[in-house]
Amino acid sequence: MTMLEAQLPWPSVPIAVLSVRWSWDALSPLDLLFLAGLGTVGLALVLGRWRRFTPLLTAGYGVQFWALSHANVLTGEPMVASLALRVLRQPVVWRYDSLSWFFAMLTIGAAFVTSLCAFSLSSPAADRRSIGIRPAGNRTGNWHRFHVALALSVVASLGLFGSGNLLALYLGWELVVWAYLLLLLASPGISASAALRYAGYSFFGGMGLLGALALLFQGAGSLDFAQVRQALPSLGALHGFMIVAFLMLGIGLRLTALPLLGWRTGQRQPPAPVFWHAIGARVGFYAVLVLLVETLGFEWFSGVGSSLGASWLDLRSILIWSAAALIVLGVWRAWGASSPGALLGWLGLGQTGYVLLAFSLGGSFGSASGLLSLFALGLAEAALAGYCLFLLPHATFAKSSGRGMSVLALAVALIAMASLLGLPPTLGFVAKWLLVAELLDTPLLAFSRWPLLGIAGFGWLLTLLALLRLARFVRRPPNPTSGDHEQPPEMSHGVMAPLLGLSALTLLAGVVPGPALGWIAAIQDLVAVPVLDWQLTGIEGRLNMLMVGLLEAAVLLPVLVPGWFMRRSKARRQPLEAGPAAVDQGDPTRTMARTRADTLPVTPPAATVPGDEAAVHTQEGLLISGLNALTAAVWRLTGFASASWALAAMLIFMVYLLVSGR
Amino acid sequence: MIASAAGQLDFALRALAAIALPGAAALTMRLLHGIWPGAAAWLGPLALLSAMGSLLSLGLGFSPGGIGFALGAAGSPLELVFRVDGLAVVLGLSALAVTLLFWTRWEDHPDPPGQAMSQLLLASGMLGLAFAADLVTAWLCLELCFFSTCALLMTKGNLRSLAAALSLLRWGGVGSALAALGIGLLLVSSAGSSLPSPEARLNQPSDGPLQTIGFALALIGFGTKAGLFALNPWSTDAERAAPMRLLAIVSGVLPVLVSTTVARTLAGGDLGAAANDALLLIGALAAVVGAAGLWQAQDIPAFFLRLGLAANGMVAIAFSVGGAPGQFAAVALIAHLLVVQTAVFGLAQRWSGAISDLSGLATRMPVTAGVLVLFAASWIGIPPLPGFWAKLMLVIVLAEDGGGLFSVALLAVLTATTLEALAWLRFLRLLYARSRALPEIDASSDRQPGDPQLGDPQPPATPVRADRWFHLLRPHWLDRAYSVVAAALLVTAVPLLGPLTAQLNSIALEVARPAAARNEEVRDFASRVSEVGG
Repeated sequence: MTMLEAQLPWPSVPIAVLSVRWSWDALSPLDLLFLAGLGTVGLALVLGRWRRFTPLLTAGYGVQFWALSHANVLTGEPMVASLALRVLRQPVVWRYDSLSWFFAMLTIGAAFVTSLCAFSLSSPAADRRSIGIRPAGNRTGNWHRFHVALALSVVASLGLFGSGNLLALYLGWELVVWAYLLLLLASPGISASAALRYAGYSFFGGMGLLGALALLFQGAGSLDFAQVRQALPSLGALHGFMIVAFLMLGIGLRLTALPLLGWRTGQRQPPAPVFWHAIGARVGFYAVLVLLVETLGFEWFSGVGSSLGASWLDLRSILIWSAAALIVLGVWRAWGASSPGALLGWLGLGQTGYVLLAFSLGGSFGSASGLLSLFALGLAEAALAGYCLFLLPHATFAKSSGRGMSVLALAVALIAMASLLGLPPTLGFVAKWLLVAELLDTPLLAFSRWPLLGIAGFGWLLTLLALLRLARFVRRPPNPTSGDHEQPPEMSHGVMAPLLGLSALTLLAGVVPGPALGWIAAIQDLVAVPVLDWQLTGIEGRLNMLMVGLLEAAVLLPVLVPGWFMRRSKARRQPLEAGPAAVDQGDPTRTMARTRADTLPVTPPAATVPGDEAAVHTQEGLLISGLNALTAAVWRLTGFASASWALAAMLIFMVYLLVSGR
Repeated sequence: MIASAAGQLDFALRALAAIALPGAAALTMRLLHGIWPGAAAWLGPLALLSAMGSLLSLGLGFSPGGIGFALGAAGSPLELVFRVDGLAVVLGLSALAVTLLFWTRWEDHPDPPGQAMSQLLLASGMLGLAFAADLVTAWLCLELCFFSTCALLMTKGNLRSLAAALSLLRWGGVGSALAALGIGLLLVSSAGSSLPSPEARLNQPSDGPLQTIGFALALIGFGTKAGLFALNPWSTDAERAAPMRLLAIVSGVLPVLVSTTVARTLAGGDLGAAANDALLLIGALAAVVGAAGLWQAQDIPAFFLRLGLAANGMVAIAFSVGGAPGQFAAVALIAHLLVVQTAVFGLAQRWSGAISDLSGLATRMPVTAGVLVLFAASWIGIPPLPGFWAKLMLVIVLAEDGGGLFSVALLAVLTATTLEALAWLRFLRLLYARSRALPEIDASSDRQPGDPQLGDPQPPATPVRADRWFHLLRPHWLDRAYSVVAAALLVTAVPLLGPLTAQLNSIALEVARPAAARNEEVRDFASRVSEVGG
């Protein structure tokens, strides 16, 4: 027995061994972060049922943020958690560096805001107005599930961002997918079948990742990032191509990149979309950075086609043009979307295309643009998703009348839209500026920079049109004769406070982008791309956001302020002219009055009126049909009628094996 | 460790008693039923329990090699060779437990003693298969299982069951012929060997062409008979006609026993690369075909039957890798399969119709649906459930062993797992459908009946067919209890992964033992028994 075991390299040890080497006295901030995450899950399990304890959960996210901020990994050395696992002889460790810190910060922040929104939306007043989670049965039970799923999603994401090797990355991402599925299922605004579809596509992507992982393990003999990096030059051409193919399939499916975007969920009701838009939909970019940028490197990625003898097959170019196509598709669909929820979903997809384009370009500005976009989009889309979906949970452009919005609320929405568009002085402008600068400067693109710039501009234009549709719609006051009986809900302070915070941060980080650029420079240093030369107000020698902001204010304020006062006085006059009844119906101090712009018909492009859902169904229908045909062919080939042929083929193969001397 | 020859003889007799008890009970069943029907109804379960007790008395703390023994005159070409070790006892216990779990319960049969007889013979055959140490013994035991299955298929007495039995007979005949030819070739090819006994000659390490062809034929024959591999067209008829209790056995424990026996007797790396390639190819085919059939399945029996086919394909792939890592992955997959598959079939014993009949089941049976979700999650491999670790081990093992057919097998495993996941998700989506109507299974649409956003009409207020179905679909309390226990086992296994894998590791080491070492022990034991007899 002893000899037999000694001869066996594997599995002479158990498949998984847990190793914990810490004591209470030696807890690192990273350990505290994980403990706080698990503690929040525990709190959600025990207390999530009762609304009065929701602030405790929010405080739990606050504690996680505190622990994260105390882990000095942004500028210091990477930190390794005390908890370690040994799976299949591979050590699975969790370590945090600046990249992990960045994504963890986004995730915890998003969960914090989502939890605050959930607290407000679970109030009895919101329930009476049918806002938020509206189950058919036990309402508290649904909120309970939501809080547990949210806390689990955060913990799983924290585990993913701390991946110390490929196996931990795969495990972490799988857990994130299933935690997100729970989150989506706990939100009845999203149909259960859509959530399950998300799970199906994500699992498919997971198999692609697992295939890539297995092939990398086959080539490197290890799942460690550094060893894999070292083994890359020795991989065969076909082996390398298979790895890239599996990776593109896996990451593409999970990022909803073209042409693998069939699983998009239709978010309709907050608060889950707040978390989803803030980070959930783009969590895959962590894997893009770790795998494609840090571990494999774009140079190797680009050279795989050449090593196969197909110099025309530049995989990096394919990635760049896929991103460009994603931009066009996303914003085009957003422009023709039939509801605000769908519009936001497609717009988010288009913005994902911008981020993918930036990362694919690489370089100092490109990578900075991608990272900064993640931050800016997290702030802006969360605010828009929370705000618009709160006001318009079931509205469609065709059937519903508009909603009145308070001035403050409108300002929040407009700032978020400006950031999405990339208008100064928001943070989104800095991100877009960096992208354009990279497109103009990079020698990689040669002539193709111009069509790409054109596509980026076209995307910007369609984004503007889509957002204008949304802005017009939300500014229209409710029409009591339209048959739409949903009254515009009143925004509570609980919802307004976090959304105002997000908008303020969007503006502040736009005017003073230095701190955010500092994080990005630290990440660039980590992943070995040229580091951005930044300063407190922008890019050294290229962009000064403070000056841009001041210039903008100097130009726009003299125009906007008088115009706003004129509209306000007009709004006060109109109800008085219409009689006292009109004054009772609308609150002129809180609601923007109908303007000439509001009376313009909201006309989506005729060709895309049924739009997004039908398109997704068509794409998915094609996929399912293909799958049906394939599986039917396989099944029938082995069925009763063909069994004898299959038997003969098998015997012939045996003979072939024999003759070939295997 | 059993040191003395007398102790070994006692050990062998107890093992033989375990095999013989169900068979003897089957032979006396009809007679007892004529005399005392009440006692005959309890005879089967009692015999199975006694056999289980006999096996348990052997204990699980075996020496590495276990105990081997042969029945028949020394040197006879058809003597039966058995080996009792840790894995054999575990598999034998599983076979008996599954038979007991799916024993007929208060149901109307045209021929109750015939049904019980067939079930007992099937149990006896499976037990022999678990203990079989060479292909001839395995073949004979498989024949017993095969004819018992035929008899069980015919117990319904209708035209469909008759057609299914005929189909099984036809394909089983082809399988028997191929297996006999293959075994014959193996015997002929090793005729010049200096090894003293035929069973040892069957197991000798060789790379000869005749042996390879013989092995391939035997493999296809065994696979066809057991419905193990892609050549199982008879299962299409069986899934329409057979009761779920029979399907649970023929798609779960029986193929597992066959693949384990094949792997233990021949594919332990002794026949060279071609034998392993053949096993790998057939396993990959079975995995992909089973998963494709799963996606195509419209009926519940077909769904679960093909699920077992895909899982058994993966087991075969793992065995084909050879060496301890492959056996370890295979044993882990088998352990997971036996727990989950039996529990799933237990729940589905009364679900013989279309999958769409289960629409909205979760609203009426939340515990049953929740347990099914857990089983599905483990089956498709969601971390950190045990099924995930088993599949991950298989993938890593395939990656570790390099390219060629292993890459093809890797692709097959990933494809099959994806298809399984998609099929399961569609199944669960139906289970949790909010409407009680019976929607069509159409994954191309996420439209829910009554979804105002999509302009669907509201669900009808009048009761629909699914309402009437629910009381018929409720599983028996024993099956529900077993499924809850199995679910608890799955969950408990997660924190206990370390000790569990250590236990599996020791079993895998046993499977991976070189055949030459096992043969040596058989000869040694035979000579010692002769001394005792003398």
